[in-house]
Amino acid sequence: MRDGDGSIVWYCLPFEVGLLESMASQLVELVDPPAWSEDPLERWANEREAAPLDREDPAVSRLFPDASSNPDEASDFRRLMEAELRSQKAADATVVLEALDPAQGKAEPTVTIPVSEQQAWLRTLNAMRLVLGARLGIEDERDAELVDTLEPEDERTPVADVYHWIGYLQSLLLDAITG
Amino acid sequence: MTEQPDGGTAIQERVEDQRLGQQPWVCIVWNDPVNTMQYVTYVFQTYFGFTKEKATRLMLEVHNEGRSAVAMGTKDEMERHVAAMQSYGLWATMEPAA
Repeated sequence: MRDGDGSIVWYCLPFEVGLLESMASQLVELVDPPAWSEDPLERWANEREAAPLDREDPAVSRLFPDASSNPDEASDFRRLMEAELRSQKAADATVVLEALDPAQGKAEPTVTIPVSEQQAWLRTLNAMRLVLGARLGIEDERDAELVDTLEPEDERTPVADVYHWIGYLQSLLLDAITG
Repeated sequence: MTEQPDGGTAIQERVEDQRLGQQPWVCIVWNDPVNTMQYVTYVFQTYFGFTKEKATRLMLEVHNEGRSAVAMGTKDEMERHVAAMQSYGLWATMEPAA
């Protein structure tokens, strides 16, 4: 629902707040951003010393794809942009965590998303979908269709349900922003 | 065409030569089975400022042909665009323009 100032108000259920909070926290852990510092020199050192991403993890390699088929170019891009991308994704997820915080423990929670935070929400919901999609082994259109039609007893069904729910939230948010 | 003072023209040409001398690069967005058509179109509109029609055309090109060159410019500019597309979760790469 959209307010006069463009804020979007989401009337949600307590378990939805908890689920999204957990997903956003896991995302911050996965991208493992370099430590922030006010001091640019220290920040640069932190970026250089940050633990490398585990690119064997399909979720990580989907969030941070090679920027070129040429290995030297891909490595150049990582050197220039990876720390910034890790920080950006963590900052986006933190915006979501902070918006969810006041809704924790409420019987009838509402979450308010001002215009200035809507891009961070969209990017974070999308990152959650990419991570869940990787966990579900979605690599092509056929895999995606299979995930849409899993049997209830399939062990992937609980994850697929969350994947579909995040997709639904993202489309509601897009409708509210563009509508 | 009006005549230009020689000096001014020369400097102008030199700047043009430098830009032309650089190999242009393109930012490519690839099809993927997770990102929705609605989201990809929105990202093209929001980040590049494309009209809904142009954003939709490029999104459909990604969807139907597997990839689309969504921007062209210097290598530095394309690095920025690829990083931005990746921050939105789009599968983006860069390459020298064909």
